[in-house]
Amino acid sequence: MRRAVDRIVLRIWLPFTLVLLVCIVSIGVYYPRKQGELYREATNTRLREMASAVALSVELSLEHDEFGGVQRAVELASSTEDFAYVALVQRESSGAERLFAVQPTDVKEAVVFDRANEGLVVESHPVTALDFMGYVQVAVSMERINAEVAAINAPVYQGLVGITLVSLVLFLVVARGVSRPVVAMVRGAEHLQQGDYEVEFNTRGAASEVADLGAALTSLRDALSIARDRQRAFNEELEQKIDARTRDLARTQGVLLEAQRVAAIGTFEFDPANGRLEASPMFFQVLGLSPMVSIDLSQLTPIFGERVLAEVRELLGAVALTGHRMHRDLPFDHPGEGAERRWLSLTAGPASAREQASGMILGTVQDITIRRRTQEEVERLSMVARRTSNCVVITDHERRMTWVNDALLRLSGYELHEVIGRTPVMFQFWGTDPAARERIRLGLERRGEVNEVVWNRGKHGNTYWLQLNIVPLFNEHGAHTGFMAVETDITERVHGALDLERSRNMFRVLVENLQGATYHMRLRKEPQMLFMSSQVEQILGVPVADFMERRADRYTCMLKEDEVRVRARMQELISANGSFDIEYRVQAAGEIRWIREVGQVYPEGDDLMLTATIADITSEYLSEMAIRHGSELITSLAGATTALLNAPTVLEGVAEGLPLFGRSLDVDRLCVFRIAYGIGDEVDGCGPVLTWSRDANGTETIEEVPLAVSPVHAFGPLLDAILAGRSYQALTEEVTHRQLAAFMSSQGVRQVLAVPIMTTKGPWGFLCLDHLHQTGVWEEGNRRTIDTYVSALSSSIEREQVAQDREAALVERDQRMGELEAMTRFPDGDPNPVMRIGDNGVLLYANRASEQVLGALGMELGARVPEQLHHRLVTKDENDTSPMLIDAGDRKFEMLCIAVKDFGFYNIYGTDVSAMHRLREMQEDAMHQERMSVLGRLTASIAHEINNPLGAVLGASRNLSTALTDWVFKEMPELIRDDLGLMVLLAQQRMHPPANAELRAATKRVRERLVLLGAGPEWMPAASTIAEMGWGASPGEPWEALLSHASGLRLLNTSNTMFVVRESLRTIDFATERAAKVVGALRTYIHQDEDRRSKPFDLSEQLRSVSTLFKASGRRGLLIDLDIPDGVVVHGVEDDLAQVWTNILSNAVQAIGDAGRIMVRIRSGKDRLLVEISNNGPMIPPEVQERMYDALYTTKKKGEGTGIGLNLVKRILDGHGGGIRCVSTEQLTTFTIELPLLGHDTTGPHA
Amino acid sequence: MHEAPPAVLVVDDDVLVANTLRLQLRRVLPPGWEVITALSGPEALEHAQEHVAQGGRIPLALVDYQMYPMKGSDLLLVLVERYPGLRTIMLTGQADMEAVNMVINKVHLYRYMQKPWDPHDLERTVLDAISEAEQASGQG
Repeated sequence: MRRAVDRIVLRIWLPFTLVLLVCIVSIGVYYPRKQGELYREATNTRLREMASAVALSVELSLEHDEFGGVQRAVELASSTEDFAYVALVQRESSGAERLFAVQPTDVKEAVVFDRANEGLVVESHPVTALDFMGYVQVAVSMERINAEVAAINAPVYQGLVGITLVSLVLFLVVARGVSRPVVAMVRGAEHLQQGDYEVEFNTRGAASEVADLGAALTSLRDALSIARDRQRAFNEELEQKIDARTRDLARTQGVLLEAQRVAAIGTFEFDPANGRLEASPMFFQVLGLSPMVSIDLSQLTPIFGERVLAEVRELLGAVALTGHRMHRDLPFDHPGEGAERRWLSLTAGPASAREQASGMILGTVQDITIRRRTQEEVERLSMVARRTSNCVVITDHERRMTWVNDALLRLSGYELHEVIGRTPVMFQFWGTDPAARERIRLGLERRGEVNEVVWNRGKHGNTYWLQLNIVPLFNEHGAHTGFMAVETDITERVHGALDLERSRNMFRVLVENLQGATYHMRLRKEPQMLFMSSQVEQILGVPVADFMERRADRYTCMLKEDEVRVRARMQELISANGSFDIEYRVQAAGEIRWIREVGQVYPEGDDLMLTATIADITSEYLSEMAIRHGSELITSLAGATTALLNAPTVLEGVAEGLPLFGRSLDVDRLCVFRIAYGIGDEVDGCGPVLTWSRDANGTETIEEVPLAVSPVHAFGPLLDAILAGRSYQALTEEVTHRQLAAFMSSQGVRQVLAVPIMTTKGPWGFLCLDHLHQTGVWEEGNRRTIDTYVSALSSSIEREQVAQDREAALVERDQRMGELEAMTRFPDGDPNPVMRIGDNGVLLYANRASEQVLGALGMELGARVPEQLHHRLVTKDENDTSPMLIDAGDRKFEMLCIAVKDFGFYNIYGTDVSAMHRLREMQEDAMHQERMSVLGRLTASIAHEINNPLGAVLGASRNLSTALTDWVFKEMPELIRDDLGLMVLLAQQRMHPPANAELRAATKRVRERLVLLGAGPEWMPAASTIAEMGWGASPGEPWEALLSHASGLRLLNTSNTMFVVRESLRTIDFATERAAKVVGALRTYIHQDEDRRSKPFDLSEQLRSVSTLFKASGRRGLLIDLDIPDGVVVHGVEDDLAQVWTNILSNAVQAIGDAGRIMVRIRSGKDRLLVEISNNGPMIPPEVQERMYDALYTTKKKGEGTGIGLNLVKRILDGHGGGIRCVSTEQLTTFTIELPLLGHDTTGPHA
Repeated sequence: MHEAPPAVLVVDDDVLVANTLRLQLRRVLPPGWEVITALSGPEALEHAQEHVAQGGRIPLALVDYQMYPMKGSDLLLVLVERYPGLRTIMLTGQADMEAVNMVINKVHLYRYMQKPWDPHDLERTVLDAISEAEQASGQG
């Protein structure tokens, strides 16, 4: 086979390639040469044209006397192409030539004229113009032309080389590609033949390999079949040949036997002297004549004819002459048996030695026609035998070869002389089956026919197989004369059989090495498993024996639903042969396995055979299913996602995509739930908006439902998970949340998976995947797909939300624009004056309500506003939002100017404050009341201060009167005579009563002194009196004189009364003074004669006075630190500002409570004066800070505060062109009051 | 040594008032009674403790309301707690009735007197309070 392939390669491809190469070489030689010629021709033409063109332009230039033009023409020509040079030569009348112009200029004359221009192709063209004679010469270097030709030819060469390479490669590839598989096959066969069974078959793995193997098996089976067919054909042919030969031989034998039977010999005696024959009757019978006694030789003329008779005479004459016996076969015409030519064998010899002298000749005749014919036939047959491809051997009875044909010599390699006389055993090879040898021997001994196959060896060691057919030969007498052997070279057949056997072996090895099981069975006539490989037990779980012994067939373990299909297919195959590739499932070892069976049904004789391979493709099937499912999923995912992108709304996209998704995921229902948000992004609950479902019959429904919100608690852990951005997955029976479980049961859900649909705004809803009929585990791949889809869904929703938001924003903007437009019409309807003044001071706009103001201020639309007014508007501080008061006749307006600097104008908003002014008058009253209220509070604290000294005064005056009436006037008269001096002395010891501790210590000391001085117990209480009066216990103090005095105690008491009088008078003094001070301060505060004019006054003094008032009125613990420089003068309404300090200090005193301090300081700013009043009381809450300047706002209890205080303060300060601000922290609250340093032209409410 | 005499505690942060009250009470109190004056709550507590430690007793305290740092009401609360059976009179220059009510409820104030006080009223009230206190404690 390999040889055959190689032959094809050699006979077709090699010649083809060679021819191709020859073509290529010829083209390679011819083409460039041709190309060069063409190019040179073209170059010449070009040169000619160029020369003529230059000549023409030169002529033209010369005719116009333009020598520059000549030069240019030459230059131009030179520059158009890479010419070696372009020259214009002038030929003078003398015939001399000179170079008129040349480009490039460095070309020598010698080059042009002296034919030193070898290697140049030169073309000239005459120039004749007026008196100019000459020619133009254009030259191109040969070198350049050759280079260009080479450049043109280069690709051609490359192409040719490429084609050559490609064809060579193709040749190799084709040769290799065709022969390689065959070679591999043959090599495999060789391996097998050599017993090398370790042929590796890569049969592990995929079904495709099984299929390949199936194919390989099929081709192998085909090879087997071909070999078998060939063998059969060969056998038949051979048998026919042998039969024919045997028949021929038998017929020949029969003819010989017949000849033997009919053989009859006639005898005659010839007398040469008279030429007469005396013959036996048989003589005449042979010749077909009526028997006679004698006959003249000439009488035989009709029988033999003249020529043969002459021959006979010659023969007889020769015998007579020589005395030798002679024989000759002669043809003759038998007169009785038609025109058939017959043959006669004539033998003649001298009669006897004794009769030799008489010259008588004796002879015999025999009709040898039959024998002659037989001989001819044998000759013809031997010709056949000689020429047949079969070997023919003829032996004698001792089996010595007497004849062999050329075929045998060819086959054995022997020469004829080497074999004649030897037995055919010489040919036998030792490898011949000994039993066959024995059978041959026995057959030959029995003289029977022998049919055997022998393995012979030729002279040169080659072996060959022969189908031996030996026939014994008998002569006409039935004696055994030898054997004839017809031997057919069946080497090829035997090799075919061996091939067959080898193929079978290989087949078996293949089959046993297959992962799958292979079987071979007869189908039609009595279906029978002929072969089944052992692997079948692994695959189908049924032992091989069961198949072979018909206890099982392939349907035994096949699933019923597949069996029907497989049987139908098998039936189909039986009616129409062909290959098949079928998959079915079996139940083996308790599990379903997928089986693939690949095979072919083919006829064999009148039966049908089936050869197939059974492979277990469970794992391949499962993985393929997984892949297919995966790709299905991806396809559906892609479809669903595309639907999302393409649909006009998300829900439509979902509706389109969900069925795809549901089918591929094999879920029963898919729901999109939406979470409903209430006020403040509270989750109200959720409900389905889209549902896709598929019932048991596969009928699908998709339904968009209006959102019906079920409350949050109905979903329990599911919604919790979704809101936390997690998936929820559960079997209904596992759900412990009562309501959710009930909900799921009511929906018929057995298993649920909910995946959150998250947007950047939070959870939008979730996708719910329900299993209604079966449960299972969501595979990771599926989960990922779901997640991917849901994330696509989420982003779509988000996109839609963004789009909606944008739309809403657009609508809102439109609304705003509308509103804005409407608002521009606002000022027209405004009852208050609204005006706009441009940067240039021109009044741009004034609404209807402005008329009165315009009139009052002398303003006019389109005209400049009065300079003074404009100045006030433009120079006004940007942050100053205080209005200007405009008096317009009977009405008053407050005009507020807002600079809109970006647009270069000022908006002026007027307010009719006429009513407000009236209100302000009313407020004045309220303010007065407030002042009274503050006064009242102050009075309450001052009352304490006044009452204290008053109490002291009362007590003291009581003391005085008692002392005067009861003691002084009663005791004095009696005592005074005695020791007035001592009493006065004692009473005048101290100006002030001692401090209590001092007093007690002194009392103690005095008491001890009294004891020391031996005073009686009645003196003991007097110790405190003595001490109280300022006396001590120093020895010799005046009071000691009392002890020796008879009425010393009375003296002491009276002296003490005098002391009390003195003390009481002093107390009255102090107390009255203090009371007067307080009243004075009060007078300052209340200031009966209010001066409401603005004037400079001493702020330092005012602050000190008010602080004193608070200090005096307040508690002992109240600390007011003053940091006030002397003589700070401000311009303002003194009383009003006193109100400011009083209010703020009053609040501060209340704020600090029992423990705290207040600081008052004055600081000077640039053009402002700052008064800071701080306290360390509690912080003022921000909301209070915001409103504390509002009128009627108070944090105090009803009836305690009027809510006017700080409002009043603010208005007073506004009126002074000042301001107030407050910074309050936990540690410190500071009110900062600003006042213009140089006063302020107040136009405030008090103006 | 003889034990310290019974005493009336007078507390007022106004030295004029304190002295005046001392002079006035000394005249009306029975012989041997003393008047202990103090200008603040802590000082009063100190003197009272000292006096009691020397074996004296304080049947009556006369306390001003508006004082700093210790308010009269607070001082009274401490005194009543320390010296059970103490009679208390509060003087006040302000009509802060609410505060006074609180004290009356908490301290079982014997008497509340407005400034300026009527000297006769004061004398009678003080004497009444003393005699009541002496009777209650069995001192006659």
